[in-house]
Amino acid sequence: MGDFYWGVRRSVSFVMLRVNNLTKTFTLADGRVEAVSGISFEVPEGVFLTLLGPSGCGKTTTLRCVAGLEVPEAGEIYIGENLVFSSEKRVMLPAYRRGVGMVFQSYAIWPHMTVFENVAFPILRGGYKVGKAEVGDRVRKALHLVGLEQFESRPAPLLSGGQQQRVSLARALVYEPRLLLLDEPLSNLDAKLREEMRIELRELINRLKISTLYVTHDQEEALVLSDRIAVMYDGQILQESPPREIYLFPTHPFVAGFVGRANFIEGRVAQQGAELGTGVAATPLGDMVIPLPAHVSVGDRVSIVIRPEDMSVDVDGTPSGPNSFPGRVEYRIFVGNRVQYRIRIGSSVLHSELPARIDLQEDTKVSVRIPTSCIRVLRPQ
Amino acid sequence: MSLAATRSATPFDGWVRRAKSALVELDFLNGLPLVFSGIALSFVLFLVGFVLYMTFVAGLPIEPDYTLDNWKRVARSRMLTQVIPNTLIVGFGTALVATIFALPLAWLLNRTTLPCRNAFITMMAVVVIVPGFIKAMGWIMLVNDRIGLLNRAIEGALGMEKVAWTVVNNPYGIAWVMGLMLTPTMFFLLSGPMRALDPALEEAAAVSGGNHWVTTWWVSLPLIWPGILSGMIYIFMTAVSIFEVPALLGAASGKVPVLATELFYAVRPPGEEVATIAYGAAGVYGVLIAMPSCLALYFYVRLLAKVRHYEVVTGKGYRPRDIDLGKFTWIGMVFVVVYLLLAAGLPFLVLLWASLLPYLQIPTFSALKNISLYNYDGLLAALGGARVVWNTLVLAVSVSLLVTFLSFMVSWVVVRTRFRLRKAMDIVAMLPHAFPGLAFAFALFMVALVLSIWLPEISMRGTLAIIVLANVINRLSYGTRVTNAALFQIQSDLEECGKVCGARNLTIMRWIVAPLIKPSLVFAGVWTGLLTFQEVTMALFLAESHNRVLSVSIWHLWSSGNIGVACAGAVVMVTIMAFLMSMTLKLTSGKIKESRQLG
Repeated sequence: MGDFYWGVRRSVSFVMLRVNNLTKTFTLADGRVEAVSGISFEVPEGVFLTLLGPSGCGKTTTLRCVAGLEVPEAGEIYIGENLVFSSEKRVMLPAYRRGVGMVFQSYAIWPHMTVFENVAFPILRGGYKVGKAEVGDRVRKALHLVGLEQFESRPAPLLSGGQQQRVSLARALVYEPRLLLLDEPLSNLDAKLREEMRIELRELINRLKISTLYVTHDQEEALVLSDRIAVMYDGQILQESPPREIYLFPTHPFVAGFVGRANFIEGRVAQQGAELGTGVAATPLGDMVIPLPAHVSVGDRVSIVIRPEDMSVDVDGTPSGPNSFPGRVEYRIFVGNRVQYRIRIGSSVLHSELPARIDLQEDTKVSVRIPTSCIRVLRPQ
Repeated sequence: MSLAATRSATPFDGWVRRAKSALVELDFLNGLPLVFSGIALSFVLFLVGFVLYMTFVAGLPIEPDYTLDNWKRVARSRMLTQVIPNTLIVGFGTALVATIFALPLAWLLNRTTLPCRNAFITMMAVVVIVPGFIKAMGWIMLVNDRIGLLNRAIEGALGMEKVAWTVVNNPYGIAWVMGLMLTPTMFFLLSGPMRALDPALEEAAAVSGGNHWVTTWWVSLPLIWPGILSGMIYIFMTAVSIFEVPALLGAASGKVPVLATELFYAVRPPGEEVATIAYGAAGVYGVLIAMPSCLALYFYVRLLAKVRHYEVVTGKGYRPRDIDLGKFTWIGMVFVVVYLLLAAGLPFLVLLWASLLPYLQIPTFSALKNISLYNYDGLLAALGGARVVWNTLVLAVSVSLLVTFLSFMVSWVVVRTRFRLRKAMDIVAMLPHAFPGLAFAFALFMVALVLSIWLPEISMRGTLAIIVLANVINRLSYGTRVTNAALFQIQSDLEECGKVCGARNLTIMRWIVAPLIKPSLVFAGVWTGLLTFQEVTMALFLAESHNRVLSVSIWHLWSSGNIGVACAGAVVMVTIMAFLMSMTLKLTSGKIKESRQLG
């Protein structure tokens, strides 16, 4: 994973956060709910890892367990070389001794304090006290990092959402924690500001080379920000990879569907293909030449995943060659930089995305070609 | 590595596991509130149980001799023919009068563009502050077939021989005075639903072609009907447990007995003659008042929860449209002013007038000649000297501090911990709302009596402490409502963030929680102090020679016939209250709307 270091390259990769078999259940009125079911992951030093998943998948619970705000039932958590939680060894280091920085979804700006007092709290009253003389310098440095140095004496309630978000970040950074935890910090901002803050945040973290655990349900945010993404669903991590791999080579149908848009075609591998490592699958569209991964053999049922932007759609061309199918444009949606088409092929429907300049009218007869190299084959779950 | 904070992850079985999860939050910070609130609430429960127990023993509770005689004797008394009918007339009458005044007031001051609305709303709170027995004294002098100033004025104006109206010795008179007195409570109860009305519903009616009046009558009024109903239940509950007004207006003479006065006189018979003291019967009266109240309280709390829910859902972003009364504005103004005059203005003016005269006369030019400050001369001595002033001060300040502290402790457990009994604790904290203060005073009286027999050296009889205790218990439900709300409004994020910043619990308390809830605590404290200062029933019930407070002294002056001096005392008392009230408003910057549950 050396390729994804933003920090100082070390000969031996140092793991800043290690979570082993973490399990957390909640007791609700209608019974026990397992929010996190035995997940494991690592954040090497300087790496930005995102826990991505729909609401209720357990990502925030995981983050809160790391921060020490929830007590898990089982598992182990190491921050740096310190064991901060272990069910077996009966260790539970309280939140105030874990030395992590955290930005809450609501920002949790204390409304009775000024910007300065908010940022100064950890080093003035909290567990990371520094000399009185140093407090001012440290706070100003932190505020400078987030570009708020001129707002020092402003009462916190008079800040805009974006400014509160920055204060919250400055407060988490002022004591120079080794690990930064971010709980959907951008979800309360409007779309334009969110995009700006996304880039700003990434640049800041690049500069500081701080290890980061980030939680979001926004796949685009995760793809833009992360070094690695762990996609969570129903308390489990389905896949953990760099963003490019998550998008191009999903290993689970849920991951393929949650990150980006995807067409799913169910089929069965009928025979070996002409080329090595390919196969021919019988699908509702017809026979399709697919790459044949090692764990799939002839006779297996497969889910064939195709990204909408990977198919080519030709007008009036009669289908020719492998994986070409005749279809009809059923519906189209113009979304600015591209056009989304719904194309009917026999009893099936495929979603396709084409550049905005290509304009196909509804009911146009088309031929759809799917390159074998763009097809992702998964075992149905 | 801190092992103190270590928690086991292995599953426990049954009871052990439950006990463990109950105590999960039990570190020092939560332990302290748990201990204090536990003691306070257990004491409340103990007193309630004690009253029940009293009803089944023949004599003093230390000579257990179980019997149903108390219940039988009460059933055989004038209970069914007089007391219950009177109590019902007073209860329903009060609820009716309060609603008739409060409904238009709530609408006028919340949903119309009436001028000076905020000033009027503040005045509604001021009306609460004027003690009920002082208002009753004022009305006795206003409407009375023998001495009533209004009667005389009407006789003079219309040339009639005698106007027979009277508020004295008449359950309807009691209902009238108490209705005026409890109107502000009803007003604050109705203001919430009134403001929370979803304007879209009204706008829909308007779009359908209904004008303001049609909309108000057919859409708005039916929508707040649940609010009106729950308010009336609440007022009924409050009215049947009030002692001071029925006592002054007819029960002391024995002509209009109600449950609350029967309870009082069963233990503290009027007059100096030695009478048999019926402790058990008093308990029966207490239970009879409390039972329907507890039931009503249950429905009230449920209704309230729904109303709050409703407020949260639709309260966002909408500003209910205020109706411009146009050329009818003056009618609205007259209504509000007339109410304020009837509820506080006239009674206070008549007291002021009476305090300046040697005997009560109609205000005429000839009467003006008799005006003097005679009644104020030596007032302090008449009231009982510096001791009474000191007692009153100690009472108000200590109750205010204790209630604020204990309410905070209870709310901390209820809102901030996962203690298993927290919901039950919240309900117990509400009990003093349903159980009349008089019943608690009675229970304390009995406990003190038993204690004085068992342990004469720590006798609590006739001490100020016992009055403090009664008031603390009585005000606990109001106090916890304020502190609950204050703690609820602090998002848990704010504290968790403190933890992540490395702050320990006490640091978080000191620098984050305390500053955020300070305004609410100050408000609860000052308001509790004011209500305690004007309270008379419990203080009177528990009074002996050494623990008199100001309100008790005024009461005694009035009942012994020193009308002028009593009025002077009342005027002084109201003046002090007005001064304290304006200080409160300054301190809390007009946050008076929280006083909706003033009881």
